[in-house]
Amino acid sequence: MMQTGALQAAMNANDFHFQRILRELRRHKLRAKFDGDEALKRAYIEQETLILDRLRSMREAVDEALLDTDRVAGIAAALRSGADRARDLLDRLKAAERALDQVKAAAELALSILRTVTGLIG
Amino acid sequence: MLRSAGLVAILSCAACSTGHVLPEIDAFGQAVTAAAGAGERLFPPGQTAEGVAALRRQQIAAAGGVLVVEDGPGGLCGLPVSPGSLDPALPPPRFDDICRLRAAVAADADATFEPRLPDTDPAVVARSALTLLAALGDYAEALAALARSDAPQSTATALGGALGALAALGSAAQAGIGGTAPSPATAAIVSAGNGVLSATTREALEARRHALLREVVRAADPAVADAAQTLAVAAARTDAAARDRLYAALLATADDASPGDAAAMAAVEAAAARTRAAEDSAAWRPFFQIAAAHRAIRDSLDAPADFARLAEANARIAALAGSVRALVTAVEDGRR
Repeated sequence: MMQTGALQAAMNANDFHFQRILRELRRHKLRAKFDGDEALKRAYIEQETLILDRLRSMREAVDEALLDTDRVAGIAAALRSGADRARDLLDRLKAAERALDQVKAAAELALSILRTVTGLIG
Repeated sequence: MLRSAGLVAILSCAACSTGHVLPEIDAFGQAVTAAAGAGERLFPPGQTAEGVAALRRQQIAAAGGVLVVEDGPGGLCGLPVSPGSLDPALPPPRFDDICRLRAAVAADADATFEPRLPDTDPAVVARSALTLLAALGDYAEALAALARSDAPQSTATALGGALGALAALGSAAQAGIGGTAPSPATAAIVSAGNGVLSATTREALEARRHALLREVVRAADPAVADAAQTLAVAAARTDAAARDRLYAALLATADDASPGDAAAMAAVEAAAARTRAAEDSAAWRPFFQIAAAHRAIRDSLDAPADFARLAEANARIAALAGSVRALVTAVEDGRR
């Protein structure tokens, strides 16, 4: 199966390509309308409909690739892993009281500042 | 001198607290949770399970298969569980422990036949969407819990109390050595030092929380983006046909309008208004916005001093919350 990223890139390239054709078709369709050429206008509308149908089915192909069941299962597993990681980190953060090295360092700093301050002023 | 320089460094560090520059991750979590709730209404779980089961039966039947009843790992299938023969110390088996249903086809009757269900069948799409909604909601809740944790604050408060006692001890020691009570200036500096230390500790813990959040958000961002897009695709399928018809009507109305016909122009404008209303409130939009909001949170966490990124993240979260509210209202009103 084609990678979804590659499919999306191909889709975007197609969109760009078909947009140019559609713009040109619609310009001619408008010209036909102003000229009162109903048959020509209808011919352009038919072409326009064909292109839109083609684009629709290509977009549906991209959607189908995105909805691949195995891909969805992979994404869900990655999200669950992220959630587990967040919970794990939260537990560790909550255990910050046990991060005695930080507290101890701060307390030692407190003592040293206290000694400096009291030594300088006292 | 060295200690004075250290104090200056601590003071400057205390001024750059990261605690108040976090994006509104809690609001993001709430919006995602609300979107998940609305999504569950878009894809009713009961219908989904039955729909997938029916589809699976059809696929097995199409392959000429049957369902075989077999023993499960917990015992023999064919007789009711008999409590008299069970070990009271062990949990009694349930039906699914003793009986298994397995699909089989004639080509290889001993092997389990598992039909591949079409990914785009509405029931399968709904099942996929519900799987992603549950996983995304779980992630967002865990992330929000990490973001709103008060551990840094409570630890700093506890430490502040300990340092207060330490400062008092230092003052008492000084009074004992010098024989006099500390001067007001000494007391003020001791108090300031205590405040700096409390802030320093809080800063250290806030910085740690910030680093943890950044790690989680960075790691999860690709999955969140994929999930958001896939959910958007799934949600889009719920109203794609209706929107398609509106666009076709808009083009047809415009094509049929003759030059110089004001009434026809009004009809085109009305058709455009109907299409705009449907497109701009389509069910897929809130899900798609989840990716943008999460990416903005990631970028903001990467540059904590960048207030433009913080504002961008919060704006994305607010936009997401607004879209989710609209979707929830539409679902509750039965418009979806």
